[in-house]
Amino acid sequence: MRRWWTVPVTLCALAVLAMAVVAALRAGGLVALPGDVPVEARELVERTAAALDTVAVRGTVVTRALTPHGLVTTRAEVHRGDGRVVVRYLAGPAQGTTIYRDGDAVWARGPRGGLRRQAQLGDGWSAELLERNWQFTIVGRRRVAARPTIVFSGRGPGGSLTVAADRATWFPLSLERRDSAGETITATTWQIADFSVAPPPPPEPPPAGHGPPRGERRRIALADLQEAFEAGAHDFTLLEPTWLPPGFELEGWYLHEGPGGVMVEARCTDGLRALLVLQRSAAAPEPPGGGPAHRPGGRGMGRGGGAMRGQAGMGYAPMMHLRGAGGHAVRRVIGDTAATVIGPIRAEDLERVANDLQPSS
Amino acid sequence: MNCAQVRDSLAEYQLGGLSAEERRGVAQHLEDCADCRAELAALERLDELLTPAERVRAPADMWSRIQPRLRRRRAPWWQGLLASPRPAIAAAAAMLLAVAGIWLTTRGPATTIETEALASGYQEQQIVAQWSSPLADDAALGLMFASLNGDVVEP
Ligand SMILES: [Zn+2]
Repeated sequence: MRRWWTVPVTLCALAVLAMAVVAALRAGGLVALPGDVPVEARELVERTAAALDTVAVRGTVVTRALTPHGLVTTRAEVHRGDGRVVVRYLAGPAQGTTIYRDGDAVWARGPRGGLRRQAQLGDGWSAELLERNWQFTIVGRRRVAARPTIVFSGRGPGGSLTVAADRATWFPLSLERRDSAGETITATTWQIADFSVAPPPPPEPPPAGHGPPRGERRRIALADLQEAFEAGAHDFTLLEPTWLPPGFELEGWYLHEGPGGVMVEARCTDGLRALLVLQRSAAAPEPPGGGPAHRPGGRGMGRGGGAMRGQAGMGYAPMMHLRGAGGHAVRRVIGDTAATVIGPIRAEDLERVANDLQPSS
Repeated sequence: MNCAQVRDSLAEYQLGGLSAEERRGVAQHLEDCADCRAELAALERLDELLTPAERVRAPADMWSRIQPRLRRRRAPWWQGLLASPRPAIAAAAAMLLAVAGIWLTTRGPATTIETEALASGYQEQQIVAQWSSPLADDAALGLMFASLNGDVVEP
């Protein structure tokens, strides 16, 4: 006569047994689980990145991005090729806006053609870090924009990246980034893709000195930065990260100088993502869009900013969690320095980076 | 057919998805073009990686090979169960439990963050940094870029 507990105990024992069998077979190379096919990160990323740079394609995309307005979904017309990209948004907060990218220069024009914003992209990405930190696996195939694609997925310290690459051209017809909590940061999927087009003609770049300032940003050696701070060139204390999440490394230091004052950027990367430590004087006004004057409701950084400034020189101010472009951020005032740590990683990790900032010496 | 046309249809060709006439065209081109043959070989290599499903399926005789070994180890209380017509159900349940166990142990704790919008000056730096990376999503990053506060009023 079997007792009542026979069935559950049996099932548990069999579960353990099944795990052992699977483990043994996997160790012997007999069974590969789906989504478990490791591939060369470099080959996949290089081929796809090269296609992204060179392949001429025109069509429509559905794109999602974490913006200050939350996760926004919109449609856009895209024409790209030969290092140039033109994106015109058909809906959403950027409706009517066109983004131009020509090599490293990007700028946005409003519906009536006015220059809204411009920036210079840089480099600072390392293939070695990518290979060390990101595991890529082929997860299957699917049709995107009526074309067969290969779907591969990369997992790194800062989250994941899923790509559906066109089998004929390697162009990524779908790209999705998630943070390590699985939340979507950005996602774009092509709905219609015409690969028979010519690349877009070179767009007219904004004339120099026109429109909003481009914020001068230059790479600087830590020693030079320390020297300037020791000489009293800036009214805050330079902080250095002493802990970074596994897989992230300090890529370099940058100095931003503009009408809003001086900002120091310590840029860290895991090979595919950026984790930034931004520092400025706790006494300086917040950058445009973030201060109380720009947020009449007293929400967001405005509220914390005031409280933090009041505590300048008094040690740690309460931590603030923020969500916006490209992931999460925490901000705190340490002495006379307002530090913002921003990146697509877990909040606990951002917090630890912020907590472990130390005066540079 | 030229190389560009062939490359465009190579994936369909390999999947057997072209018309007979198109297939002939591609096959003919492949005979003469080493580059396109190499491309096809690369696709085939990827295809091998793409079909783990076949390898996942356990060999048909796996259970019958495991069973005698279990019996030799003499564990009477589940022996009856294995001998009964229910081993498949039990194995399926066990696999489910195993998968659930793996799933539960590999999932990290969920992160809940009270978040608010971030000052655009900082956001812009993050967007620029992200946009400089390989596999940057121009459409999504452009959307973030265009949605930042503090824009200059249009002329
Ligand atoms: Zn050819």
